[in-house]
Amino acid sequence: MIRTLGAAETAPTTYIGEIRAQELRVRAGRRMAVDGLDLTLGTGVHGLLGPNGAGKTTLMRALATVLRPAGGTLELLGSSLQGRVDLRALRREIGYLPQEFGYYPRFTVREFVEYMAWLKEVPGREVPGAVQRAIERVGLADRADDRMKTLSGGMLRRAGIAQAIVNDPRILLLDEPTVGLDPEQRLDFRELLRDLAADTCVVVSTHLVEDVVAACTDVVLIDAGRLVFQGVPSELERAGDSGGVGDSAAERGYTVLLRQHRGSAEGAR
Amino acid sequence: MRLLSLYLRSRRVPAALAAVLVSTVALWSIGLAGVDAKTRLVLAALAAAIGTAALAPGLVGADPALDRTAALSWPPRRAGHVLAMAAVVAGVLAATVLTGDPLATATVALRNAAGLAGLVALAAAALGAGLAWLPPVAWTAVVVMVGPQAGGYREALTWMVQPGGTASATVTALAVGAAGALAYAWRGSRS
Amino acid sequence: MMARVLRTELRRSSALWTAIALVVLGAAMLYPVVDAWGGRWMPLALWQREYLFVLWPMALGAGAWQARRESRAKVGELFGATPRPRWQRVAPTAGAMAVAMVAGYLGMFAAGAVSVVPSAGYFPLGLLPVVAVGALSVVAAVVLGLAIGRMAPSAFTPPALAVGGLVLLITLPLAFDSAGDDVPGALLLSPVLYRPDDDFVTVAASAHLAQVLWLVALLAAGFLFYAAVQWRTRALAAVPAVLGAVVALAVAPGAEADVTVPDLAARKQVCTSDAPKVCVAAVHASALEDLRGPGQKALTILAAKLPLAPTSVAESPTLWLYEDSRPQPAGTLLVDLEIDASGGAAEPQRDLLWQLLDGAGTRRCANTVNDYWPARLAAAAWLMGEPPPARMADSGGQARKLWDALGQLPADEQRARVAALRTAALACATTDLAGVLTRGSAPR
Repeated sequence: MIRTLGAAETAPTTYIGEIRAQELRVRAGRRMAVDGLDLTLGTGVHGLLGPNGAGKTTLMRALATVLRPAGGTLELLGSSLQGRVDLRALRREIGYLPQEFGYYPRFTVREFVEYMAWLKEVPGREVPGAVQRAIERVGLADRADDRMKTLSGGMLRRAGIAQAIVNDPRILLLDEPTVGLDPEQRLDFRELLRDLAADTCVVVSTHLVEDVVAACTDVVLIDAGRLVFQGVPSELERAGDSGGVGDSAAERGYTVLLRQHRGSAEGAR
Repeated sequence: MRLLSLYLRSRRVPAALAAVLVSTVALWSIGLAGVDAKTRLVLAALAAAIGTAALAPGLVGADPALDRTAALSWPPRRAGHVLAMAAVVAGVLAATVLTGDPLATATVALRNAAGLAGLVALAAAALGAGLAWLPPVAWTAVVVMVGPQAGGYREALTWMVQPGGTASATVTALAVGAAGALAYAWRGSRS
Repeated sequence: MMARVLRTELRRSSALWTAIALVVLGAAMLYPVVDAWGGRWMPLALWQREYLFVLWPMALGAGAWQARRESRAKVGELFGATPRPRWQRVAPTAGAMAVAMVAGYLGMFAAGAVSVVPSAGYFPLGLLPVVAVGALSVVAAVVLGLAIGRMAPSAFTPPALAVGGLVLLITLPLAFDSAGDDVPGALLLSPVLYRPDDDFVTVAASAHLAQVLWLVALLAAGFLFYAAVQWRTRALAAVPAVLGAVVALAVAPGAEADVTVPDLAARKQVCTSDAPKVCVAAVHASALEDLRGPGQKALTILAAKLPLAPTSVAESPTLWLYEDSRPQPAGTLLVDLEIDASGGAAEPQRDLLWQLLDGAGTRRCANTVNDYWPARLAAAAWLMGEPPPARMADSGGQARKLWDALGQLPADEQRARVAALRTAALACATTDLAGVLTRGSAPR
C-alpha cells in the first residue's frame, strides 16, 4: 500500500519495537488492572487474548494514551510516556478503536471519518483522499453517505475501523473489531490485517481465537494484568497438545497455558 | 409497591420530584412579597410549567426498545403516568393553600397542571422526552411576556395566565391535556 | 479544514433547528403586539431586545442541549486518543451554534421587518447597534449554555437553564426596583434593554459600549470554560467575566434616564409642500398624509374664528402632557400623533380634527393634565360648530352645558372668551378655563 512517508518515518528507527512496556502498571478505577506487564511489540499483527477482567481493555487504553500509566515504563515509537511528553505528536501516529465505539449518529460515515481525520491532524489536503481510501478498505464505499444511525452493528464496527486507519497510523489498536461482523466480512477483515502487517504495529484484542490464529503474526496472552505467553500462533496450538479443553487446537492451547500460569502463580504465593 | 418504586427509580422520578418541590417553594416565596392577582397567576403558570418540565425526562425509560418488548400493556400505564404527573403538580401547587398564602386556587392549579402535563406528553410523543420540556416552557414564557389577552382565540391561546373561571381557558387546557395524554398513551415517547 | 468541519456541524448538529425555533418563537412573540411597533424600525428592534427575556434563557437551554451530544454519544474515549487540543475540537461546535443564533435573531428581525418595510420612511442608524448587541447577547447565551451543559450533561440541564434564566431575568429588575431607583448601571448587565416610551429617542452609545464589553467578556469566559480541559484553566474563566463586568459598569451611563438620548434625526420635521404647512417628525413621516387633511382644516377653522391663529401644524417630540409646563408657542399648532401598525395615524381623521381643536388649538400641559377638559372640549365644539361628542367621563354633560351657555352669548363675546381660553391654555397656567368661558375673565 502506498502512502507518503514523513521525514521522521524514513529516518532509521532507533527503537526495538513500536510498543515497549516494562513492569507496566495501569489503574482502572480502584483496581490495578495491569500489574507488572513486560511486553515488546514490533511491526505485525499481534492478537491480544485473555479472560474477562484480565486487563486487556485497560492495556489498550494505556497504549492509546487515554490512560496514564501508574507505574513502570511505557515507550511508544521510542518515546517514553514518563513525565512531560508531547502526546500530540504521538497521537498522530496512533489509530484506536475502543470497545465501546462512540459516534455521532447524525453524521454520515464519510463526515464522521473526515471528522476523525481532522481530529488526528491529518493535513487538510490529504483528508478527502485518506477518507476515501479508508472507507473503501473496510468495504463501506456504498454506504459512505448514509447516516451512522442507519448502519447495522457490523457496519458500525467497520466504520470504526475506517476511522482508526484513516491517518495511516504506525500503531493501530483495535479492541474487539470483529463484533457483529458476519463470516464473509471477517474474512475481509483478516485480509485487511494481513495487508497492514507489513508496516504497522497492529494490536487486536479479541475473544475469537480463530481470528487470532488466522490473521495474527503473534499472539499475546495476558491474565490478571500480567503476561502469560507471547509467541507465534503455531506455538499456541502446540501447547494445546498436552491436553486441554476446547474445540480447536488454539482453544486447547489457550486453556492449558492459562492453567499453567495460574497454577504457578498459586505456587508462587 | 416494590414494582412501583423500581419503576419510579428507573424513570428518575425522585430527582424530578425534588425539582418540582424546590421550584414551587421558590416561586411561592416570590409570591409572598404581596404581589397582585395577575402576577400571582403568572407565578402559578410558571410553577406548573417548571413542574411538568422537570417531570418530562421521566416519560421515557433508559431503553425504549427494551420497554416495547415487555409483555404488559403499556397504554394504560402510560396514561396513568401522565395523570399522576398532572396530579402531583396540581397537588403541590394546591398545597400552598395550606400555608395561608396560596400560589393558586384549586381550579387554576388543576387546569394548569392538566393542560401542561398533556402538552409535555404530546411533546414527548412528537419530539422525544429529552425535548419534551420545550413546548410548555416556551409557550408559558411567551404568554408570560405578552400577558393575558381578552377575546376569542387570544384568550384561549393565553390560557395559562387566565383567571380560574375563564371558560375558554379551561376548555383549551382540557383539550390539550386530553390530546397529549391520548397521543402519549398510544405511541409512547419517541426516543 | 476547520471550515469543512464547521459546515458539517452546521448541518448535523442542532444548529439548524435551533435557528428555526428562534425565528418561530420570536415571531410568535412579536406579532401579538404588532400595534406597538408596526411601521417603524426602532420600536421593532427595541421590542425584539425586550423579548430577550425569553430568547436569552432559551438560547442557554439550546447550548446545554447541544453540549449533551458528547456525553450521549459516549465519544470521550475515542476523542481522548486524538491529538487535536480540545479547544480546537469544540470551536466548530460553538461556532455553528453562534451562527445559528445570529441567523435566528436576524431572522426574527426580518419576520418583523415584513410589517415595517411597506410603510416606514425613516431608517435610524441607531438601529444597527441595537440589533447587533442583541445578536451578540444570544451568542453569548448559547456559548454559556454549552459551557454549563458540558459540566452537567444531564437531561434536566437544558430545561433547568431555560427556566432558571427566565425566572432570573424576570425577578432581577424587581429586586433592583425595590432597592431604590439609582442602580440601573448594573441593570445594563442584563441583556434585556428596557424599551423607551416614545419614538423620538435612541440608545446612548455608552450604553451600547458597556453592553458590548460585558457580552464579549461573558462570551470569552463561556468559551474558556467550555474548551478548557483542566480545572485550573476552567476556574480562570471567571477572570474575563469579572473584568468585563467591572469595565462595563465603569463605561455604562450612570442613571437609567441617561440610557436613552434624543434622536435628532428622528425629530427633524418633515413638512407638506403646500401651504398651510403641516409638519410631522421624520420618524412619523408615514403619517403625514393622514395628518394633512385634518391639520389644514384645523388651521383654516382657527384662522377664520380666532385672532392670532397659528399658521402651521407641527408635531411635538416632547410630550407636553408628561414632561413640560412651559408656555406653548402661539404661532404653531402642536399635535401628539399616535401611530398604528401600518405607519399611519391611529386615529380616524375626524377624531384627529377634534383632537387638534381641543382647547382651541392647545395641548394639555403637565401641570394641568387632567383638569379643565370640559372647557377645552366646549371650545373645540364651538370652533367645529357642532355639539361636543359624548365622552365617557362626562357625567352631567358639563361640556355640553358650557357649549350651550357659550352659544347664548353674542358672537363677539363668544369669540373673545374662546380667544382668552386659548391664551390661558397656551400659557400652561393653572387658570380655571371653565371660569374663562362662563365669566369671561380669569379669576385669580
